[in-house]
Amino acid sequence: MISAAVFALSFSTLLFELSLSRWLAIAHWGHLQTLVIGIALFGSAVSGAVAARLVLPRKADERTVFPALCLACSLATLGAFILARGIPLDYPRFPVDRMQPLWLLSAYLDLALPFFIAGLGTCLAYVNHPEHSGRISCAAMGGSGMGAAFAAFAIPLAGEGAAVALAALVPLLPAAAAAFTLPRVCGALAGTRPSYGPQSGSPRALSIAICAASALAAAAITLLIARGDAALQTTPSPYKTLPQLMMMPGTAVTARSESVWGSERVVESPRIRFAPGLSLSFTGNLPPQTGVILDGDELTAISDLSVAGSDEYARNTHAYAGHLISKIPASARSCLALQRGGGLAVVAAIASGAGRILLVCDSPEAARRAAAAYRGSNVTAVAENPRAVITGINERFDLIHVENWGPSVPGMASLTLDPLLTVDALSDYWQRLTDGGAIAISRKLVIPPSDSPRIFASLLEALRRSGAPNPGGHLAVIRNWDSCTFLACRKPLDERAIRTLRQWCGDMGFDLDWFPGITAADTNRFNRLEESWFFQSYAALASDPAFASRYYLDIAPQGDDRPFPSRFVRWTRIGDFIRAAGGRPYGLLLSGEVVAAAVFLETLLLGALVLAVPLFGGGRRAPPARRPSTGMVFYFLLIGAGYIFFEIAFLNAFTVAFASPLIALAVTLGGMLFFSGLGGLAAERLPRVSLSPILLLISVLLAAAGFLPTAAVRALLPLPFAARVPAAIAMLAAPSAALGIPFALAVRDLPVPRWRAIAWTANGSASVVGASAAALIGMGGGIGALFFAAAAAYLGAALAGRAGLISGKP
Amino acid sequence: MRRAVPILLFFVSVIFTLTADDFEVQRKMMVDIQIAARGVSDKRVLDAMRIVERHRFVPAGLARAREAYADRPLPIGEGQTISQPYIVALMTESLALKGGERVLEIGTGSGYQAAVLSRLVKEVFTIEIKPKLHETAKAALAEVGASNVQTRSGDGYFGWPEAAPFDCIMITAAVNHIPQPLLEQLAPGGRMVLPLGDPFSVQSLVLVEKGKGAFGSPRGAPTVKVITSVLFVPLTGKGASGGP
Repeated sequence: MISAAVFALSFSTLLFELSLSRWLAIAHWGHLQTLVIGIALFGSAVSGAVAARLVLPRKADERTVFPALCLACSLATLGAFILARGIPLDYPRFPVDRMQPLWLLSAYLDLALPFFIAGLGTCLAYVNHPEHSGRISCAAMGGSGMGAAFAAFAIPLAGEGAAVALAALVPLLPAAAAAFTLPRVCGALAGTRPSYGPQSGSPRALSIAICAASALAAAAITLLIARGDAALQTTPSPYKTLPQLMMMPGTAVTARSESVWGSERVVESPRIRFAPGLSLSFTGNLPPQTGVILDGDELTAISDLSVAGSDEYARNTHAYAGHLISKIPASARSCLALQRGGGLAVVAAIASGAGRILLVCDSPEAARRAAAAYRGSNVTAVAENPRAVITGINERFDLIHVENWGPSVPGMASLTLDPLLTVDALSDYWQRLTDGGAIAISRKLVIPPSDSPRIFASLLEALRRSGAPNPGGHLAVIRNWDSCTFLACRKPLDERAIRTLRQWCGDMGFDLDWFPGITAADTNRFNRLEESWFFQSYAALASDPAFASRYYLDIAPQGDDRPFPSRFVRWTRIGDFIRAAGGRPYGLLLSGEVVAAAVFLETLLLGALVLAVPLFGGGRRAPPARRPSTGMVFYFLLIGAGYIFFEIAFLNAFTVAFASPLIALAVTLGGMLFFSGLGGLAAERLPRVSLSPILLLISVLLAAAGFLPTAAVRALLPLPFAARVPAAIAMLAAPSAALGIPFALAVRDLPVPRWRAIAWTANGSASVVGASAAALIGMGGGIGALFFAAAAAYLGAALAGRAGLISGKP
Repeated sequence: MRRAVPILLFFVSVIFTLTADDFEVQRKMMVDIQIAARGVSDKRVLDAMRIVERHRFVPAGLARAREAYADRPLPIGEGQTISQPYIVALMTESLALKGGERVLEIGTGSGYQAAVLSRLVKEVFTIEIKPKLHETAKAALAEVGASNVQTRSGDGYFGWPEAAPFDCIMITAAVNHIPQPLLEQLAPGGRMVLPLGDPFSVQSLVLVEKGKGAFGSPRGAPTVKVITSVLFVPLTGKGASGGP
């Protein structure tokens, strides 16, 4: 029974965690997604602190305690979600609404409740049955792993709200079954023996009540799911594209689809008019456009080009520049459009008359709609990770156009992993160009200059890697007043190409911010800044690569190990950042890095408090026991931190490999926890002396992985999607199994029940802090740094363990 | 009892004075500290902003919370904001208004910007696409007596052709391109201003001038000037080299 309950609780909480993560990203803001792991682990850590202070239930009472916990977890899961939907949390209002921090705290505590109850169940199992710590670990980790895997299917199919309801349903099964199978209730029908501990009966009335309540709750939840109840629906934040568009008269959602890529809505509206980079000289009309909106925010515009000449607008945008200077005849030109939102690159290719156009986007609905809308224009559309396509394809292209407009404010998307513009990505694109080919990248202009200088620096770095003697000679940058297109040509730009560009930019009213031989007089003619900020930054970067390190924002090129293209904060120059924003710090409040740092400080405080309760609280009713050694506490803290660093490292790597946070999360958590569970099971039979060598081995392996941070990504990207998932899971198997051993093995031999609860708390607290620390380490140092941090933590655990555990004197 | 009456009257008068002048004092401080001190110098603009009661254009809760004159944008519902006072002043000043202009505003929002403009020009035409916001703004504009403002609920992308041409156009909603119909409705030599960036964060302005070869345009085509309201740390020199 206990294993089943622990399994169900763990399954439920992981499904809940992933559903919450999606819900927060859509209903609130992507940054709040980072809170979820912290919420889960906080609830879990608090459960250990409470368990250490409780009069623990006798083993004899477990057959009612565990069903009751399952029932409570179920009700708390659904209740917490419904309550959270009603909390008026509105992050962008933080600067103006003093209640918002309180609402955030309320949501945090509310959502932590199910994790607390589930954690309490697992903790009690460890505390009361140390001899079966491996089995409990296997049930907990295995349940979590399977919950994560199940989430990958349930969330796309049923939506976040229904997945939460399913998460609430799962613990009811063992609750009802356990209560029903009590000997006193069913007599001979339920002759099963409890898994552990002495056989004992329970109060009959209570058992019947739990059984009936579980059945009732199950029926109610099933009804909610079947009805598609409004309480389970996700409403996107009012600041997002979809709600904004829906407020416009004449707008309607005409189709919906759910997939592992996200929730998509097809929107018909006369107000969809997508033409960034449009010349002021253009006097025609835009064609009607249909919007495909991913997760309520990312808009892809599909243009109706059925009327001849309706693609003319695209010729009048700077995104067309790559076609303009191509020397390959249009009918023979092969174009690859890598699109994250937008929809202009493919229309520009169509307008150019390109002979072959391959459109790759991360939205299945957008790919379907584009394939149908542009059927007669040589367009093939696929929904895949663009990076996977570029590394898995043998074809070469005359133009590779990356359409990824990005945010309009520095920092707004700083927690978003986007591997389309890393130096590794640009190098891959470069390899797939024909001799006369070019890369085009279309982006918004971000002020203060930050995003554009980074892309320019990344292109220079990619060209240097390819052996170009004069990287700047291959580049051109065209902008208007709010966006720009970068060109990187396989061959250095010649006089003719430069002349063509200058003539065209003059006609269109675009500015050239860079081309070989540019002077200050060539810039800032039509879309005038106070000074030629962008040209100055490009010129400085082309002549002095060290310029990036002196700039007041972090604009250094990023690799696949640190694919955060929108993070710019340099903590030592924060004053310059605020001054650059006109002395207005709101940009900082909206920056993901600042949010992550604030969350880290908050979790540090919470983690310390949670740990202090069982360590230093007397607890009048708690059984008297000696305090655990500092070594023991540090041991569990360090293995908790090490585990979460490892987890986030793979999560980041797999986000690059899959281009879908949900898939990455499901594969990472599912794979890691499942194999860690097996490791935990194996730990039951291992002697205590094996702990030190295992920890040292883990440490060495993780440190080695730190030197090859993107090896997993490079190995996975060329594989087809169906093979990438099992390959990723296989990659996790051995290290995850090893990482599952240290907790189960150490907790097994702790002699005092309260210490086992403290071990659980320490592990959970470190995970809470570690999760937020890992976000900062991942952004600042990359995947390699996370591996090194994990290695250091396990090495520290080996040392702490020698003092606090292995010596046998805890 | 005879002593109590004057004491009571004193406290009532103090409370009356504090509440009556509170918004006026806040408005004066807003103009002096947030706007003039940052470089907006057009006296007419500063005077208009000293007069227009911003607190009548923000949600009642925020006005009660004394947020109306704060140095930041405020949410007004429907996912929209009333701009930071400084941005309102900067946008208005950038139009270089003399007093006889006809101005089109795209995106009425709260109506505050239209109210400020109404003090500075002959006629204001303002369009709001969201019916709820339009109704609220219309009522607020009537309350402050902005009689030279005409409001309309509709799609600002196509402008207000019946009233064209306009000497100035102000776009206060986010756009990824400048609508061609608006350029057409702008009088030769006319000025159009629109914000660049996020309303809650960094904002600078884009000024479009039609014809007359302004800003060095070689052929008199529309030209664009990005007015950097933010104070960039220089890319070269102290800022770039890590100096103070």
